[in-house]
Amino acid sequence: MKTKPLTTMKFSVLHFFSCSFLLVIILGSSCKKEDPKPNPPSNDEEYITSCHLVLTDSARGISKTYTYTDPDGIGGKVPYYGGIQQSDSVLVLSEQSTYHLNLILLNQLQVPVDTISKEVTSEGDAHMVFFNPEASQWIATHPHVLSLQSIPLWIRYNDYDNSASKLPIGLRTTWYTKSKTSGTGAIKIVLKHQPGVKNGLYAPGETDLEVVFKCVIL
Amino acid sequence: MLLRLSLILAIIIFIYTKPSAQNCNLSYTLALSEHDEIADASYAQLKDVLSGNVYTCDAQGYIVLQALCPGTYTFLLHHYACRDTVFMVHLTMSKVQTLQLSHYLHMLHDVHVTANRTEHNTLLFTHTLSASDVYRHQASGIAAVLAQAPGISEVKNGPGISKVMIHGMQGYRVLMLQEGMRFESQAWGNDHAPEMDAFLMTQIEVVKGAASVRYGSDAIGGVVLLRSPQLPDTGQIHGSAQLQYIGNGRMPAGAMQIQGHADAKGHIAWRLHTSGKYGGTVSAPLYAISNTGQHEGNMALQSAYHNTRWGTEIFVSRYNSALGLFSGSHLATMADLKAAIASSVPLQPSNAFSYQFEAPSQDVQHDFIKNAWHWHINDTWQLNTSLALQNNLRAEFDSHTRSSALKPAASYRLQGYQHEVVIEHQQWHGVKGQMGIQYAAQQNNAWGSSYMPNYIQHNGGLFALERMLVFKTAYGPALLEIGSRLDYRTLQTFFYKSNSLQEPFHTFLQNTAQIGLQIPTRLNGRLLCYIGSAWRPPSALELYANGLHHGVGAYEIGNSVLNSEKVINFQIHWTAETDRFHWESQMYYNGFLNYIYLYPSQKFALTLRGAYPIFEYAQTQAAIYGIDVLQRFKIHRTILNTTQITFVRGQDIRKHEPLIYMPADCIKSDIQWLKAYSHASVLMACGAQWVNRQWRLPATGDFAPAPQAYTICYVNTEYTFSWASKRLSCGMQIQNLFNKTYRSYLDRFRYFTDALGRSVNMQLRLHF
Repeated sequence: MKTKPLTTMKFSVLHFFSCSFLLVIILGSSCKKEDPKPNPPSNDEEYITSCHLVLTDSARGISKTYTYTDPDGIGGKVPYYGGIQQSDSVLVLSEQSTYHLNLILLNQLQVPVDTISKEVTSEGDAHMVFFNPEASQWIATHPHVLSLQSIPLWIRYNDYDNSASKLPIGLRTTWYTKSKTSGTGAIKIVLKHQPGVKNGLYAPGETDLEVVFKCVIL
Repeated sequence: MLLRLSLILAIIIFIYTKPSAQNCNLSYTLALSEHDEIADASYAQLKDVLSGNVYTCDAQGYIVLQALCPGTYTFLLHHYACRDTVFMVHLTMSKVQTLQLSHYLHMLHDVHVTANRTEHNTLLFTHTLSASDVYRHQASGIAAVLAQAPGISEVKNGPGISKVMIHGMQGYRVLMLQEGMRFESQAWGNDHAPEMDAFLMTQIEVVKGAASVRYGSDAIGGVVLLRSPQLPDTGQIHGSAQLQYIGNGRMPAGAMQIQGHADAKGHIAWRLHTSGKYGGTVSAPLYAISNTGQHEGNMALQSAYHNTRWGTEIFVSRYNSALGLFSGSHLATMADLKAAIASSVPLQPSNAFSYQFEAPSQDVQHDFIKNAWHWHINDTWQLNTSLALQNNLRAEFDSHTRSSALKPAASYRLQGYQHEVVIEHQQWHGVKGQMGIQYAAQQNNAWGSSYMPNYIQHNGGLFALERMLVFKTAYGPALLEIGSRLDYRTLQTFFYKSNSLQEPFHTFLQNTAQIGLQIPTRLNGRLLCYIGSAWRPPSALELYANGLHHGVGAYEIGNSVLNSEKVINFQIHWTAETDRFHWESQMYYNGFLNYIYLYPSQKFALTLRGAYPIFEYAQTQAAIYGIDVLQRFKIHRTILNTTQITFVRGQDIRKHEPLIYMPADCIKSDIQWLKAYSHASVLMACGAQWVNRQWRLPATGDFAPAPQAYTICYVNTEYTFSWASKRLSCGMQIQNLFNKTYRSYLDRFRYFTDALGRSVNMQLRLHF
């Protein structure tokens, strides 16, 4: 056991604060200061601002384009259909006909305009388009053909990803109309992002696109 | 030395061990004499720091400790009129020491003063987490350790991500202090946990109640005080090493500390600390919860010098972590969220176990530098000053963006600077207390798709907190504490609105006050009646959020006219302690003015991804009240029962409905058997926790109904051996013993998956 001698060191308030402030300066200056002003907002890269449905009548070769756009992105103005800001849009199809659908997705917030659908194709093993996912079923006798329950319409997928199981993507499809609809039905088109979990089913992944077009078969 | 002892003594906390070993028959007597100014030596209390045992002074001025084993003891001498003093005593034979109460610094030889503890606390009761609770849960993070205390809940958002909730309040309403300084991290998100090394911050105290006078804004629900162990003041280079293994997640974790001490016209002490963990996918009873790995690596360096006049210390630490977020919980739209909630099992196919994880994930780094000085001006006055610099970097990776593995979807940098000068005084014209000035600055920068605006914030505060004896009772002095504080804050935010830069500037001025009366009672008890106020200004996020909250599927809109949130806290706290019985109870009522909350506006933001529900920030009048009870009862010399009860109620007074996300009623009870031998001890314990269904719910606002009530059980065994000055202890715990499937109301995971299944954990700890 030893005795602690009282210190003989002189120490004043002035020393005390000068030491402290010296440390503040050393530590403070070693810290890089960031400009508080942010850069103008950058947009979500994979964000889709417009969706174009190019429907080509296979018999007559006539195409018609239906669109749904939200040019200012999330927030701001409400998205609209067509070029003249309609609140909905009706796909008009003929019964017993075959149509080719090309789905074109754009991000107009990027300069130049980014064609998201190209990216979806190249990342095909992580994406899949679904039509009326809650009310459709695969037809057992025809591979990759979907039957919509609310509308007499079959949809065949024409594009496949590069994975071992060659699952469909759905940007290019062929639509077969069966009979007339009694009124106007609706088709919901959903693009799911399913990185690492794509299995041909709707459930996994996150939603990249969800649009609803009204549809009538005459 | 302290650590060596902490091990064995931690285990025998709250139990008088009367080992049969022949050599534990020493006594230690401290004879107190009174200085003129000191009222009454018989009010002095001596606390064995490691065991927690408290010894009181008899009428003749003697504190007598019997049946002690040889070894080193650390004592804290407490007297209401003096500074708490910590000193060490080496006992090889029975001894008697004398000391004069006012002159702790000039104590007679053989008493080695190791610290003049700065009183950071007010009269408000602080609950100290026991060392065994800390060791047992530290691998699961700070919040898991804190949840062992009554009145505290854990808000989980995945393994490695959990926040502390005190009396139903969390986030901006709980203040965390690391080494006495405000801990500044990106804590505004649900998925942001306190970014702190739980292996180092082992001295944990919780102040439950509004305490803005001493600690400033945000101390609404309470304050968590986290410190590293005291630096050594004697002995050779020594340290500790520990290894832990958490079965669920197959996570090895470890920590190592080396510390030393030297004498050179004073005492120089230092410590090096490092810790890490490496966890993989965790599992619910029925399936794995994919992408839930967590990796962490930390280090810290501490050094201190002190002599009898002045002292200084420096603390530098770095925290690094990377963790995966359960992919099924990170969803793009409300439709995805609804589908995931509707399904009873996760929609994502659950992957096999893996230590690796992918986006969504986060990388966090936190640097902390602190320098503190103290100077004893004379026996009465002491000057303390400290400053801290913090730098918090956070990168959040989103599975949604291109090249997500390389480029974070959002990243943040939060820089903090703090400085405080506090003058403490002992009994002076009948009062004892402290006064101080605090200044803090904070700057936040965000990049990428963040809805958090950039901001710069300055805060200045001025406070005084004084305590005095008001009357004497048969059981000791009754103390009155009065405090007041003035704060001024400026907040400048920077964000773009319709492509033009906005720079709104806000100022906030607030005064807070507190008054508390502490009356000693029978059974070594203390009764505290307390009224205190606290406040917090609205944060930059609450004022100016405008954007999509990724991962939650909600569009959040700030409210630029929000006022400061204020609370008045009333509480009655009673603690009592006898040989066989320990009791803590707290009843509290918090009345809120301008309670800030996020409510579903029933509007939707339409996009090509679907409709996002819009949530807006609003204010209301609210009340949060409840009761906490902790009881320890020694059934037999070796058998101890501990029971904890937590009841919290929250009410929106304006809307006449319960507040959302309040903890459900919880009762926890365990029984432990401990047998101590001269060189070993054995502990076995088992317990259960019952959590009720949260049946008080608002009509709207939640995505899913509250989960059912559940009970989970756990067992714990520990063995400790000691030889020479070394100690080895090994332990095993089983959490969720019966692998019960359940979901907890406060767990954000409950929307998507069951809570974690059984986990068999092991620990090995060596003090050398």
